[in-house]
Order: sequence, then C-alpha cells, then structure tokens
Amino acid sequence: MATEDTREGNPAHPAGQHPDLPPPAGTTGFIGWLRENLFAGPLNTIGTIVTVAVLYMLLVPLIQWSITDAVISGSDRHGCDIGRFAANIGNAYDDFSRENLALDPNQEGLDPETARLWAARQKRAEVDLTTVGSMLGNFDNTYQIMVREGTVPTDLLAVVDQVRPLELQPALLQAIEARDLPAVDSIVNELEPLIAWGQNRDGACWVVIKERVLIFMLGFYPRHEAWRLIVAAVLLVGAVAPLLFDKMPFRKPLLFVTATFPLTGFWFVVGDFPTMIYCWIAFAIYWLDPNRIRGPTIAAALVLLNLIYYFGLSDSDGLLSTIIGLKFLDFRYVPTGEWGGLLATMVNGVVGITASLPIGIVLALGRRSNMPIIRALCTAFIETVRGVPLITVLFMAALMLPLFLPEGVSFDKFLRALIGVALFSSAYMAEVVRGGLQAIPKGQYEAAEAMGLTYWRSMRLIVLPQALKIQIPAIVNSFIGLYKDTTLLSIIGILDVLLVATQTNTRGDWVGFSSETYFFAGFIFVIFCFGMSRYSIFLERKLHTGHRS
Amino acid sequence: MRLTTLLATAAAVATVSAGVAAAGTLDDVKARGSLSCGVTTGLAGFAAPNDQGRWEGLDVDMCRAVAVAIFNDPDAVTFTPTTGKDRFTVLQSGEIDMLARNTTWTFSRDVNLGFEFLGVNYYDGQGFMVRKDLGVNSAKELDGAAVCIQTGTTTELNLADFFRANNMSFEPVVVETGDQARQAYEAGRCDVYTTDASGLAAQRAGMSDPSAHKILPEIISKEPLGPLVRHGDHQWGDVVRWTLNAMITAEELGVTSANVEEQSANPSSPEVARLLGSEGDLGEQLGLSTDWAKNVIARIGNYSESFERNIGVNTPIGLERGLNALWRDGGILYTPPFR
Repeated sequence: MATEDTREGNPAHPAGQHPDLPPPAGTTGFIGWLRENLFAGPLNTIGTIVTVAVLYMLLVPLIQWSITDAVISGSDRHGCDIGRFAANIGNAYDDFSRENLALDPNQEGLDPETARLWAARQKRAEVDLTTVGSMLGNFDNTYQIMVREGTVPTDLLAVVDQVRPLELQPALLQAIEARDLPAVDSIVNELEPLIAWGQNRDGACWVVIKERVLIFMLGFYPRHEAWRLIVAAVLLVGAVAPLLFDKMPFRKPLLFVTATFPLTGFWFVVGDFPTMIYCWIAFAIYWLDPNRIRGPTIAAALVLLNLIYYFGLSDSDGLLSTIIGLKFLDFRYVPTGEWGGLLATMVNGVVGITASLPIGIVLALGRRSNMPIIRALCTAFIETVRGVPLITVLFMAALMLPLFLPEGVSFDKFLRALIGVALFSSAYMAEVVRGGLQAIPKGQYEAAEAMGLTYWRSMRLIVLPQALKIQIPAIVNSFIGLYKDTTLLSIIGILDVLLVATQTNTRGDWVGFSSETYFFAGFIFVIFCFGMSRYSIFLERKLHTGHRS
Repeated sequence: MRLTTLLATAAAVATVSAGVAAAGTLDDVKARGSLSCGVTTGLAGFAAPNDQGRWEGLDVDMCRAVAVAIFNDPDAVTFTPTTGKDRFTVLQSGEIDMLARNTTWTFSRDVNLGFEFLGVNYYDGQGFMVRKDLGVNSAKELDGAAVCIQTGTTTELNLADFFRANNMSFEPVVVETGDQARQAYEAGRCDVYTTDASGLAAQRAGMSDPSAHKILPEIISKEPLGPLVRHGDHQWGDVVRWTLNAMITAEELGVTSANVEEQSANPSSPEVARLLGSEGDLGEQLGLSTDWAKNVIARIGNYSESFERNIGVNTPIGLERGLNALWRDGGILYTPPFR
C-alpha cells in the first residue's frame, strides 16, 4: 500500500490530507462558464452559433434603422425624405444591371419563354436606370423646398457645395435618356459623397413621433389642460404603489390616495369640482355610517347617479356648482370625445383591470354558490360573454345600444365601450378565479366552517387568499390580454394609441412612415405589458410559501 | 340583407321617435352651444388631426362652416370620429347632428336608411395609378394586369364591372388597408393600384418616388361625397345645405375671406349683397343671423379657399379641381341662386 502513496505524487502529505487541487484549466472563470453554458457539446455549440447569427442578422439592421441611421432633427418630412432620396440614387444604381439592359429579347431563334424573361429583365434594368435620375430629381426638389424654408442641415450644405447635384441633374437625365452608360457612371461617381451622406440618414424618421407625441399621449385633450393628466398620472402611481409593495415607506397615507383615486382621478381627468364634492359626500356617508351596511349602498348609488348625470346630461351646468357657488374651482369639462392616445388606452386598461378582478371574484363565487338562481345567473352571464368575441361586445355597445335608447338620450360612447370591456374581462377573470377556488382542497373549506366562520369570512380569510395566490400568473395574463385588447376600441372609432398611429399614416404630410408609428405604438405596449409581467414574477417570488414541490 | 332590414327598422323607429321628441336640431344645437359633427377617423385632406391636435380637412371645414353660420365660432364644434361601420348609427341615434365623412350619396342611403343628403362637397370616383415607365396611358390598356384592391369595398365591384365591360381580365391582389395597398404596389406585387382618386393622390405622396407614378385619366365610378343629416328636420337640412351653397356661390361671385369685409360694405352685385346680408333677410329665414354667410366666408373662406388649403395642388395631396371646378370653369359645381 505504501507504494500507492508515493504514486499519488507528493510524499509530504500523509494519506487523506492532500490539499484540494485547483480545478482543471478551462472549467472555471469566464472560459469555464462559456464552455459549460454555450459550448457544452456539439448540439449546444451549433445552437449557440445559430442563435448568435440570427440575433446578429436581426439586431444589426434594427439598430441601424432605429438609431444610427435615424433622423431626429427637423420638424417636417423633408428632412427625412431628402436622406432617403439621396440614398436611393445609390440603391437604384447598385440594382441596375447593365447585362440585363444589353439583352435583346427580339433576337432571332429565342424560344418565347426566354424572350419573355429577357424582356422582363430588360424592363427591370430600364426602371432602375430611370429611377436613378428621378431620385436625383426628387432630391433636388426637396432640397429647394428646404432651402426656401431654411431647414437644410449644415452637413448637407457642405456636401451639396462639393457635389453640386442641382447642376448635375440635367446632364444625368440626358445621359439616361441617351443610354450613355459611361456618362451615367461618371456622374454617379461625382454624386458619391451625397449618396454616402444619404445612406447615413435613411433609417427611421423619428421626426413624425416627435411632432405628434402629444397626440399619441393625449389625443385631442386640450393642451393647456394637460397638467391635469400629469397630476392624475402621479396620483395613479401613488395609488397603485402601496397596493403593489406592502413594505414601502409611507404606505398608510398612500393607501388614502388609493382609496380616493377613483374620485380624484375622475375629477382631474374629466373635470368639474362639484363632482368631486359629490363623491366625497358619498364617501363620508360610507365611513360615518357605524354599521357600514347602508353606507356602501348609499355611496354606490350616489356615485352611480353622479356618473349617469355626468355622461347622460353632460351639456347641462353642474348641479352642485350652481348651488354652492364653487364655480371657480371647476376645471373645464373635457368630454370623452377629446380623449385619445395613451390616455384612452390607460383609462380603459386601468378601469378594466380594476373592475374585472372584483366582478370576476363575485361571479366565480356565484358560480360555485349553492343558491340555484344566483348560480344559474352567474353561469349564464359567464358563458354568454365568453361565447362572443370582444369585438361583438364592442359593436353591440357602440352600434346597437344607441338604437335601442330613445332619441336624444345618448350616453357616452367611451363609457359604453368601457363597460363592455370591463364586463368582458370579468367573465374571463371569473373562470380564472374559479380555477383557483377548485384547486383549494376541500379540507380548507371544511376547516373554515368548523371554526365557525361565516361564508364571507371564510372566503375572505381562508379560501380566496390561497386561490388568488395560485392564480397570479393567470390573473396577470388576463390583465395583459385586456390591456392589449383595448386596441380593438379603434374599430369603433375611439382614438387609442393604435388609431393615432393609423391616422398619422393617412395624413398627407406624414404618409409613408407607418413603420415608425407602429413601432412606437408597439413600444408603448411593450413597456406596460413587460412591467405587469415583471411585477407578477416579483409577486410570485414574494408569496411562494407552500404549494411548491 | 337581414342587417340592412334591421338597421332600416331601427332607423324608422328612430325617425318616428324623432318626430315626437325632438324640438328641432337647430334649436338643440343652439341650446347646447356647440355643433356635434361626425367625421372620419382619419383621411388625409378630408379630416385628420394636425400635429397640434386640431382637426383639419375639407369635411372638417364643412362642419366648421356650419358652426360659424350658427355661432360665428369655428371652434364651436365637437368632432366625433366615426368608422365606416358606425357612421350611420351615430347619426340615427342623435349622437351627432350632421355627418361630413366622405360619404357617397346613394339611393339606398338617402331613401332606405332615412337620411337626407344636402349636396356634394367633393365629386370623387374610382381611378387607377400605375408606374409611369409601364408606358400605359389609359385604363383600357390594362388587360391582364395585377391590381391591388382593398377588401370589402365597392371598389372591388366597380373594378370587376369595368374590366368585364371592356373585355379584359385582371389578377386581383387583395389587401386590407390603404397603407398595405401602397406597400404592395411599391414592392411591385401589382402593376395597378385602384381606389378613389383622392385616396390615390394621398397615397402617392407617401411613396419613395412620388414622381414615378401617375393616375390614369379614367374614372370608373361616381362617388359624390357630401354632408348628410337625419330625415325629417327640414329646417336643419336647409341650414347645412345653404351653408355649403354659400361657400360655392362665394367662389362664383369672387368673394373671398380677404375681400369679404369690403364686399359686404360695397357689394359688387345685388346677389353679393343678398348673400352677405347687406340686403334682404335670407339669414333670418334660415333661423340664423343676417350676416351668417359673411361670417362663414370670413372665417372659413369660400369653397376654392377650403379646397386649395386642404387638398389642392399645393398640398401633399395635390389634387386638381377637375370635376370640382365651377360649372363655368369646366367642372360641375353649380348652386341655385341666392334670392
């Protein structure tokens, strides 16, 4: 056995006390990480290489388009057009194939198929060649407009001084007309600095977003009233934060903001101070009522009355403002027809999300209730609403409902759509919650009953907290779906973010920049949906007590 | 068919109840202090918000002109964006007082749906756009062409009729929106792009090389676009109709927003005097002030000014007057006289 010890290497260490050797080279540090995670075997290596290649092919053009070649200066489309025109001179010239131009489709002995092909190729070459000329023409026209308006970028001025494209244009057109290719080559060669300049400016035209960002955010909301929306947005953040994070500082006072947000938010966004007072009275009654039994009913009735008064009779003067003379605190009433853009999307999303969860819980409990009529009603509602597409609900709200109402009683289209969206998502939410309820073992229900808890208390204290926790991913999924579904509002003529983008694309002075506007609209949605998704993951981590394998 | 019947019934019900309940749209509008006008959700040159969020366009000017006629205030209008689907419902339900939404005046809309069209503020028609280098000069040379069309529009029907009538064939390339149609056409997926001529002009402005395309002279359908109101309220119909007529007549008489003050002080003809209210009481007969037409022209301008500002040759849309010129200039705009 002693011989074996010496074979181990170092006789200075007795058996069993050899210090740890360093791991083999290439298994630690950055290299080791790479080997283990990216190149651990042939399949893995191929996968990594393919992924990197695909990412490279996707990201590089995207970054070029959206950042390095993008145009952000200027205030109209000319600054964007001129770069594209300059670049297109070069593009068309590169596409142009002189072999194809030289083809002779009428040559003797060609079979008809080849002749047709050759004719098409020759046609294509001719189109490319004339495009070189017409692009220079477009460039010159735009340049002259920009000179008139005094908006020529300084770097372009230097290039134009050097190249003199306005003087080259007649010669180029003549050369193209005469099919004098050497002349075309030399002129395009002279234009090279201009083309190179254009190729650095033929990406996204963010000017369109810059000029219309307020419409994307507010729609037609009066610009000088926009501060109200900022206040409302700050309040919204203040209202939502304490609900999301239960260990944040100042949580108690912020909860007060949360409780009053439905009223204050309404006040700031819609306007009219008396509404505010009206709602506050309702709220006070609710809190002051010792039994808190009649309170909710009265409060709900008052708020409802107020909403009807607001949306139904919006053209009459504020009732309470006339009585108590607080006219000076009235904000200008902003009818929903003037809402739009992100404001419309947010109002729909926030109201839909806030309304759908409680209504959904009630519906789910109703569906599992022992009372046959309530169960039947809830089931019928859920199944009916789930059985029709959202767009049908919206069309019903937007088109059919007004026809059933008597003439002159028009109740706000925006509110109708809002109610439609909220009810629709409630039905889905109800099924999500029901899934959670069914996942709770029967023992929990029985234990709650055995403790003598009433139905509502057992639900509130035992069942729902567990059921909702299980369903967090599904609930947030529903929320995200609802938020994205608000884009359907554009179909019934509510000016949401997507419709603003579409509308921009049809406007004469911005037509042709649809990639930019849709990209921006998509970007807005990604921000909000990604935020919701991250929060749901945070919540799952925080609540991951039990129920985990 | 069923839907049409349903809508018609609903319209009939709405009209009957209108007869009972409504006191008259003009009085309602005056009491409310603003006009409620339906426009499109966005069509270049006809109605679209500008970068400051203010509605602009030929149809928008129509709404503003009526607001000026009543209130002498071009901003006393609430614009309701309507889609092709809900435009008639919002008018029937009384949510809006008038609709100026590039809507084609047809028999069934006028009679069956229970609306009243009050004139034409733009004569449109379906046209064709091709690349200049295709060498085509007339739509009759388009045999066998691939044509980009939008789904579910009357354009599709008109196109088929036109090609059949001329014994030609075409290969349809069907797309969803005008934007997609333009992209398909630019990418060479079709040789021809067809839609209303005004729409073609607007799309051409967005092409990478606008000068390489041309609109063929043939117009293959009649699309008279004009404002409309609910059936049955003739006083209100008259207000809108004569506001439009006043703008066209002002062009005919050479009254513009620049010279309207001077013309009203020293009318160049008796008709100018009657139009601008320097003489007679035409405005009062409509239930408006005497100087209603003068206000309209001072604040909105005559028809030519509105046209040139929104869709004329100096705008990105770049439309010629064509059919929409005055009768004496080779167009078909002709209004009854003011007397």
